[in-house]
Amino acid sequence: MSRFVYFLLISNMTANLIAASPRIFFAKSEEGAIVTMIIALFFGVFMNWALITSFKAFPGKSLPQILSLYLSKWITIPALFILGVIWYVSGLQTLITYIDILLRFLTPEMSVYLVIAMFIPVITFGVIMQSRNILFTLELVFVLAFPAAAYYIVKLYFAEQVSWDHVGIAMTFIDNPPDYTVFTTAIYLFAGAFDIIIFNSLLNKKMTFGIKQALIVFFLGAFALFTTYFIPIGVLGFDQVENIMYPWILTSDSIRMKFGVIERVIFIFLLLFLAIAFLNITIHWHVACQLFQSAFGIEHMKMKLRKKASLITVVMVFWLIAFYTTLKITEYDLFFYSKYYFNTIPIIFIGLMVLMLVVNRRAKS
Amino acid sequence: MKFLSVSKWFMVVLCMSGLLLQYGCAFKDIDKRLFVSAIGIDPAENVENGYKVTLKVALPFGAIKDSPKPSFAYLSREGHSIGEAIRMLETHVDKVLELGHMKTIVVHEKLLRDDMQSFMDYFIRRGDIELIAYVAGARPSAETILKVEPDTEAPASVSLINFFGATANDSPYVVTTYLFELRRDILSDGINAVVPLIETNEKGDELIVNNSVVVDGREDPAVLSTIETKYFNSLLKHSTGFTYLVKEGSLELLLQISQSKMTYKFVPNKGNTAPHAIDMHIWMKGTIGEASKDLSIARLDEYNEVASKEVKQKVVHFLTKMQEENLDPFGFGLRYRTTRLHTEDVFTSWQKAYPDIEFKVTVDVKLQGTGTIE
Amino acid sequence: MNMDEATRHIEPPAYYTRLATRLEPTADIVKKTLKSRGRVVHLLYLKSVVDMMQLQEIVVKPFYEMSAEQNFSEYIQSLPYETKMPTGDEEILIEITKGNVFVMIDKQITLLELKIVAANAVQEAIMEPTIHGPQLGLSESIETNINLMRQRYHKPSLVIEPMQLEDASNRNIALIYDGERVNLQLLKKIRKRILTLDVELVQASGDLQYYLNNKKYSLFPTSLLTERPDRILHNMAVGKVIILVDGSPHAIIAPTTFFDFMLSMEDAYYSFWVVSLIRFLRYAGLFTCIMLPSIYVGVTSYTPEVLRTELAMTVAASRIGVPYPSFIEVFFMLIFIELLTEASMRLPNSISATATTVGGLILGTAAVEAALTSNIMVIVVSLVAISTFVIPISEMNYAVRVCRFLLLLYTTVFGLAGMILGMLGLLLYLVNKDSFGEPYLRMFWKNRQEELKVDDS
Repeated sequence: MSRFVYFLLISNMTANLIAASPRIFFAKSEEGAIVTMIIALFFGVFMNWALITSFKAFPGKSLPQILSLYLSKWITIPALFILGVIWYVSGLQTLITYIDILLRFLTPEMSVYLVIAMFIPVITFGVIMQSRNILFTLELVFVLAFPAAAYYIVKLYFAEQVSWDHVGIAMTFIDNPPDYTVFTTAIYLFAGAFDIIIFNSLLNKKMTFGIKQALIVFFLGAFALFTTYFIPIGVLGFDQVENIMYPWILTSDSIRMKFGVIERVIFIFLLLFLAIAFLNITIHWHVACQLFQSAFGIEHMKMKLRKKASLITVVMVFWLIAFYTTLKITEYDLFFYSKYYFNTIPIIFIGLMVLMLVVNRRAKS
Repeated sequence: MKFLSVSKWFMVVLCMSGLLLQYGCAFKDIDKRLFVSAIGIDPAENVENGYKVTLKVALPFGAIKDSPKPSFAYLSREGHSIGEAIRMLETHVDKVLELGHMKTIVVHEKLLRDDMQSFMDYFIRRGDIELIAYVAGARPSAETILKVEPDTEAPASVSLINFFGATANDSPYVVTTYLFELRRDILSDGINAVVPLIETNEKGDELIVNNSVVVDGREDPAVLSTIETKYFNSLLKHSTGFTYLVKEGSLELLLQISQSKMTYKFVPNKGNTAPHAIDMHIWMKGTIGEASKDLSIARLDEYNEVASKEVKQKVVHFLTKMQEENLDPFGFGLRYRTTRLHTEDVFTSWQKAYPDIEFKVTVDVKLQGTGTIE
Repeated sequence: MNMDEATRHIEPPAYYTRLATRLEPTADIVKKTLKSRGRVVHLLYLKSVVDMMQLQEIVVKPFYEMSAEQNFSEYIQSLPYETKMPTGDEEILIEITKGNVFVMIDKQITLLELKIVAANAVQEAIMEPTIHGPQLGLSESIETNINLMRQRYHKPSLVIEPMQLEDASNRNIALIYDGERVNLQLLKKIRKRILTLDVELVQASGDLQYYLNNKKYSLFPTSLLTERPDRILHNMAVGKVIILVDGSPHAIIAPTTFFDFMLSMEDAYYSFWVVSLIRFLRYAGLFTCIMLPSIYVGVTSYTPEVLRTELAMTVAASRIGVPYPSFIEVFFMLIFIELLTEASMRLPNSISATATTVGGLILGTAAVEAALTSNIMVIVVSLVAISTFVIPISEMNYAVRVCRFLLLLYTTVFGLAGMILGMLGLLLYLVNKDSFGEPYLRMFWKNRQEELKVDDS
């Protein structure tokens, strides 16, 4: 697997910390969250295996290219459109959540229009960039953010503020039957690699998914799930953790850097996750934008026209919807719709895999 | 690409010029803000079921090095809720009240109860108040404590902050409780929150922090004595550098403990899930700091034994006192909940068992020397 | 026979006269006809660019010492100084203006390169001085520079490809590269870019670099200007193309990535740990000088909670009495420091020290005393000014200084979050940029050639 696939995977795992996933876990903390997460961990590895294996036969080709080669237009266009919507919503969810967080914790007095406006130029520029450059950006942000992230994680695990007794209590709920919503939310953590449906056109090397890769994905996932779920419980306490809107923000605010230039870790967290959220939105919207382009056949136009077209789509459609939803949606709605969104993930996954199976079979014959 | 760059610049310029006009709403210079450094909460005198909120506002000075003492402004107001009172206090000053640096919440002794969560909620809910703010009880009232300006206070700093968090004062008599910790402990079954108690001397120029309060539902909160506070701190929070006075006949030893560790496990009843005893093991390492007689290195083992016995007696006394009061500052209940798979009655069976539980304490004091002299 | 000789003497060949008349109005033209024992040689040159001593030694003296005409024309053709004869009058004239001597013997014409270059002294490296490593840079003569290259890079694969610009000055330029390592695609691209340049006058490498950039509003340089031969070789060895311009002591290196601008040649001359420290400092300096003014505005005016309480109090105290908002304060001070830098750069060394002292020390202190600015601000601005100069290449230095203002603007409007987004935007801009088809900013983990193969589209 190319290192970029790991980056995509990790960026999605971390971006979920600030999204609705921890809240969904905590809401079900007494109804089988742990068992479900363990099942989801194995299923997540399976998902990645299925994805990489199904794309193995087509190095250097993106999903739209593959589909247009082997399937009729009547299947390709709706499929690409639906995938585009899914990817767009994924980015939108991160955007709305992060705007809300900024308004609540960093600049409470700022107007919501201003906060949205802050994202528009940067993300628009990112979305219409070449796919190759997006991968490079991803890598660079990772390198730049790594020291802060590593420090943050070490700080979390070794902070005396984390009460492991509470973690222990959470663990005593291991024997509850699994829950579907928690399952879908947990496997969404593993969905990062699915961005290769577009980025695969850049990964010319044949990818393999063997034991080594499976183990890496497994441990990354296990670490991400463990951290997402247990650290806030350790800091905020097991009882009533489900009432907290942004568990991870409060968790970061509870960690103190005794001798740091900044005493409150929350600012490192907020600014670090601004970069992560930005990456997440850019990548997802870029994929969505490319999918829509293929669905509407913009791909066959001339280069110059195409750029123009994608710019207009992004600015007009993407941001208009984003503007509308950000202003209209309440925190409860966001939580509620996020659940629905997560619940559709397995269906989309199965659909995509069926498509890939058909395509693989046709490619062989 | 040409089109792109032109339109991009056009967009950026358009956005920027549009937004520059709008910047005013969140832009506030640092000198237009007043930093609230501590907040005091007392029961209201005139409003029924209300609170009296006192804010200690640190005033910046022109040249910090030249000003001998920090200067503070105090604002007080009563209201039905804390939020309301603070909102009204904002109309009493010419600048914005900035709560982001509010580091200490001082609460009147009488208000330290389980239901304090209802007014503490305001602090959690507001995004800009830090969760690592310290919470402390106050005697006689929060307002008097806030208004104490100790002689040792340096400019551009606040004494109330330096006491806690082990940045400046590291004394084992000072318990540190963060806001998030208080919330966690109050809301969790099986543990009682402990907050430090701040007192002042008669002249009102010193702050004294060496007692603490166990937060519970009762009307008169249980106050831990100075000694108990020290035990609590050293056993649970691993604080170091404290001393123990040990008496054996005519021999008086002052132990300087540099390391301490405590572990415990539950001894289950036969046939019953609830435990009947707690098996506690305490290790301590240290030196002899002061003695009433001449000491000999050779008799170090003897001193160890003497010290162990003394410490054990005091710890058991402390534990049983807490048990009698039905308080659980150590979080035995919490730990008990982690030891078995969850069922409805884990905690109720613990609550039943706790008053009769037996404490089996073994103490291992290891003295490493007699100080710099024999 | 005599008659013949006489006519020939009186009338130089028509071709020779034609060339001479085209050069005529200038004063330094020399038309000379050497005659001896019935042999005639016509010389045409510009005395201001030709080495007289050499001309005397190589052409004039042998002419009178040799016996037969045939011998002399063979002698001239055997000379190592001969330049390739171009086609067309115009081209020959250009060669003459470059310092060639036009020699005509009977019908045979030859161009001899006997030029004298006043400015061929190798100069000391001023822009990028190092403590260790070569102390001398390039000279202003292209021949000397090529000589410097050859002297340090003994490989038959070193290719020197002369080109001539189609501008007003007909400047000589040369592409230098290692034929074994260079990417041919890239070479083609650079050649095309140079040949299609449509400019009035190229004076030096600096403006050629600007024209090569091909974009009018580009902030960051996509090719590197250097005066250090070791840097040139360092880059040539990894397959880059060097462009030399006659009359300019700088060479252009293309393509470049962002990291090339952050590399000082000194890095090659120290041990690993020292270099690591210096690199760390350099990148820290880069981030400081871009972000610090923005951090000041973002923190003091939007989120003072970020600071520790004591620091917040100190900052608040230092701003007491400053009448305008923080971003105006920062803008003022930054512009002030830019002025100071600009002024001290333009002034002679002896005066610039005074200017900096007066400007920096006295004005700074006075401004704080008068409560026009806070003393923390003075610290911030000085730190920014100092860290700017840690960036080794001055073009990058300028670009970063501009960036600083853009980021400050974004932060002023959007606060601390705006600062981070602005930095990410800057990153996007850099990543999206390319230098002659090579990505401008990206991570290099493995060997470069391999990397490009793996994921280049």
